[in-house]
Amino acid sequence: MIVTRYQQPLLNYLGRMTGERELALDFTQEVFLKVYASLPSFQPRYKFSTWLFKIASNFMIDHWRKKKVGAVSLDQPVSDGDDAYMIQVPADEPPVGKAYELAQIRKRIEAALARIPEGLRELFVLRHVNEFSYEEIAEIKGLPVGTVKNRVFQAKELVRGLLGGAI
Amino acid sequence: MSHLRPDEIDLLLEGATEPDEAARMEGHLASCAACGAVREGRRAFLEALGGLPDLEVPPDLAARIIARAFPRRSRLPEGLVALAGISALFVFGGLGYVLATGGNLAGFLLGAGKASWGASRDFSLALVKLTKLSVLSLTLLAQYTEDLLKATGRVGSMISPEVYAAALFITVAVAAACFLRLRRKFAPGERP
Repeated sequence: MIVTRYQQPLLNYLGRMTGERELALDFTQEVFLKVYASLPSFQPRYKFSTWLFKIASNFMIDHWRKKKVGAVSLDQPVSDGDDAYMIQVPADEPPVGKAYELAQIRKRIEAALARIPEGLRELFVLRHVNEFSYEEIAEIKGLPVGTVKNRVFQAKELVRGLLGGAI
Repeated sequence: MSHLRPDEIDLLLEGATEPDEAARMEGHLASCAACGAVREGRRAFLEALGGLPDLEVPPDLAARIIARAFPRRSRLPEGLVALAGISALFVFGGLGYVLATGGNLAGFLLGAGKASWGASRDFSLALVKLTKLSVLSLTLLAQYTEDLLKATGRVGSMISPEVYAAALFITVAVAAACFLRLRRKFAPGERP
């Protein structure tokens, strides 16, 4: 079933894009409704996941247009506070100090991610959270592959800079 | 040979480099300690990025989406369903009775038909009686209304125009007050 197959990756994407769990859950529902409504127009020669995320990406663009969300200053410090959304820590992590250290770094990465411009954040999330290839991201966003690679790298550098040498 | 750029190293580590290009870069990395150090730093960073956890999906999310995407069609009216159920009960009950007792099916159907006819006839008679009673009630009501109007007309002719106007004014005022009071009471969003 489409929903059970894609609800997790879609929520991961929307959660990082909105930064709010409840909003991400609402958006997940809305995107799936759009997907079901648009199914007749789906062309099987395209990969279904890229088509679905194209719909999700357009949904987020509409949301930003409505909200007119401004880019957050990169000068703001990265918060160490609790994340707005609940995360599941994988159970197969190493059990001792290394795991704790890695979990802390990932928490800081999540916080840093929320602070970078949404355009770069989206590409970062599609690549490193949803694990799309650069070619798939290029198809989703309608951008040249080289541009996608460049912007994903920019996003990573911004995140790394916000981590302040933690890694 | 110049050093590798961090973005090139990232693509290499992610397996997003063409094979011949990857071989060239690996050759350089094997002989360049500086680029090797950069690669280890990038590797650690990419490993941290790769393990970002999933957000928790509520167990009922899929059900909620399906419910919204495919709303259930409206059911048949409950009365109709009940009638169909009762009818089916009678039919299958009757057939079961005939089969169980080894009775005559034709006789059973004839008896059932007679019983149904009798019930329909009684119901029709009752309906006719009810209609007659309704017509009689309406006739009486029309007579009483006519008498009332005549009496009102006689009383009206005895009252002077000034008194009649005052009574009319008071009636309209009371009606308006009642209307405003009721409107205030039932106005949305202003309840205490």
